[in-house]
Amino acid sequence: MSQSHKFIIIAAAALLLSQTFLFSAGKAENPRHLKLATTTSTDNSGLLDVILPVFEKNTGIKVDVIAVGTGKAIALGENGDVDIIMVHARAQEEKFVNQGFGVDRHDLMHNDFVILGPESDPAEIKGLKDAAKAFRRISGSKSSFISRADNSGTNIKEKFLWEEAGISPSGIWYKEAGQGMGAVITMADDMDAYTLSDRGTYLSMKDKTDLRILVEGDKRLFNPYGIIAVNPEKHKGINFKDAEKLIGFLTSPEGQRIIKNYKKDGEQLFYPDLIE
Amino acid sequence: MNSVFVKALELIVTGDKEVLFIASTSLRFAVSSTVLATVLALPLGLLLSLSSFRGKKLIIVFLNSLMALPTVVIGLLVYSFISKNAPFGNLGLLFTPGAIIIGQIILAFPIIASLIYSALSNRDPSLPETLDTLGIRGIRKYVILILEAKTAVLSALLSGFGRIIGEVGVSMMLGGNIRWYTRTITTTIALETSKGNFELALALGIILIVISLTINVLLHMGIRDV
Amino acid sequence: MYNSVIFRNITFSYTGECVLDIDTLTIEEHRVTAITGPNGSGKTTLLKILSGLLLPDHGEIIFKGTILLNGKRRKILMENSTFVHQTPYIFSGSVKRNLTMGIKSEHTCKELLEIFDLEKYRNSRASGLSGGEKQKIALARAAGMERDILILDEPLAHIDSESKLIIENVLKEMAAKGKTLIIATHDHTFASRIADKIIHMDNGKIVRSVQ
Repeated sequence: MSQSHKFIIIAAAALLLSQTFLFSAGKAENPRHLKLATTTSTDNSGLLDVILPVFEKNTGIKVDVIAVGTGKAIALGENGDVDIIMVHARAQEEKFVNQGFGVDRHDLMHNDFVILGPESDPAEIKGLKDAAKAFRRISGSKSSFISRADNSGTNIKEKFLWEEAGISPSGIWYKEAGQGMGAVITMADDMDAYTLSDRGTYLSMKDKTDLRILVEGDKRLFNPYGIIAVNPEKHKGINFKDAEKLIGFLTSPEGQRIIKNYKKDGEQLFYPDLIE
Repeated sequence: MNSVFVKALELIVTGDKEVLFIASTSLRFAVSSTVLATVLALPLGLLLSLSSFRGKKLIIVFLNSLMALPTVVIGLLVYSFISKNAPFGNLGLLFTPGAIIIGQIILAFPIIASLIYSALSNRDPSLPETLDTLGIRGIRKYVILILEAKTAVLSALLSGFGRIIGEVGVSMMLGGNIRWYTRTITTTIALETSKGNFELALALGIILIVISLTINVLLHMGIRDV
Repeated sequence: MYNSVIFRNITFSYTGECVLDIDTLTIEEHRVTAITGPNGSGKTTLLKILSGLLLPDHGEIIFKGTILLNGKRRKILMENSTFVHQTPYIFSGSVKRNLTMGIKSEHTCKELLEIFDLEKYRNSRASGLSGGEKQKIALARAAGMERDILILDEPLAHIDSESKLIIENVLKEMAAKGKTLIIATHDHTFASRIADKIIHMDNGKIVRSVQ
């Protein structure tokens, strides 16, 4: 066989191989895909890895989880790039539904935010029950604070708390990271800074950080998660039927029980809204 | 530091199911994209090296500047074409392997085309004349032109592969880092880093290097027999 | 005697400079024509136009009594001739691969290896051989094409005397078999030994033609 023949055969084989790859990749195992945009904190908590396989087994629907910040998750829903969103920023969620992008907002579960900081606690906020007061002390003492600054649910909550404190934070003590929760906790740990985190992400990283929970329990630190199906009338090809099924499952007693029983290192991360 | 290598080794040796899946996904996407980008780049490289025409310089300058395009920009660009309301939105490509492969082809095409062009233009100028005078034309002529520069063409291909297998912007943005579906080594590294799992992330980085090294060695060994 | 190729008023310029300007040139069929002249006198350009690798800017080419139209020149000249570069291109791979580039027949390949004393190198990597061996490979490759016209650019330059002898003998044999040979060389004694007609060039022009 001549070289050029060999070359053509090898080239054809490579092309064929890549096509099979492409095809198998494109087809995946299951033709029914439901695209769920959710927050990194939800995804990082590991809850979805426990609850979604049950749903997938029951229904044969494969849920594709796209973990982004709340702001981007809502934007993906508005663009019709996902079928369903699970986020934690109630005001934005209501706006999303009112503008017709989402169908109904369903309460799903909640946990709470906590203010994290170094053990040395230079702003002396440990034990405060008033989150706004804690923020005032942080800014007053110009102690380093790391903000997510990514329009995530946590970031939205943080901005709300600064407003409550009557402060618009600026200065070198206030650092806008533009990163996910895990990265921000790592940064705050390295810089002995304060930050706001959802309890779930903090718990999942507890053994990797020296930061402590300094403030918790303020009602304003409540962190409710909602789930919303994207309106199929806004965009073509939205998998509304399966989105409804997922909402049905997650809000069913079975789904809610899984949320309730989900623990990491013995600690409960989320509290279901629909069962005690 | 030591523990990172132990962890990487452990992940490889124990054949962790998810790590294997992620690694094979990365490899699958990168191989598909490299092959397809090469298929597109070869004709352009041949055309540029064989003929002179108006606008040739412009194409080369354009290709060279595209090489520097950040992966997130490519991601955004492709996103703006395949998002639901975009021209190709109804294909439902976003957050599927197809989207990643499209982005990666765009990522690798300029580098492969431009390097193939320089590989082919560095040839002995008497080669095309020799082919002509020996009555070799058509497809066979092009195949021989490529074969005579096979080592350099292979390097072009491997540069493209290298850029693809190591990119994170396109895969993250267009693939969505979906577990058991579009999660690749690099998106996993980004994810694990964000979760503070630096050791696991580094271990995956080592696996990436091993894959890259293996592919390079295998191809360079293989080319000698072609 | 037949005329194989006739040039009339052929000119060729390279980057604006005229490097070839030929009023008339006749290449006779079944004869050996040697083209001599100093470096840069236009020998190689002339040969490449004869073999169809270059197109002249102006002028008429008549092939076996027919004027070649512009569009057909390259094709007809290429199909009837084969050209060997002064420093031939050697393909990667074995000597055998180099020989079978243009021809298909295993038998011809075997014959050529014998004629050019290349059997011992049959499977050797061709690019690693000496200049003389490479020239023989290129000649064998061209001879295998069995075209009527064989055009050679300095076939004896920079090679060992043993290879020179083999090449000269093969060329004589080909001439005896009735091939039309056109050979550029600056070796006048070689030219007079082998050629029926010697054309001397200088500065892109034919200055003398000796039968």
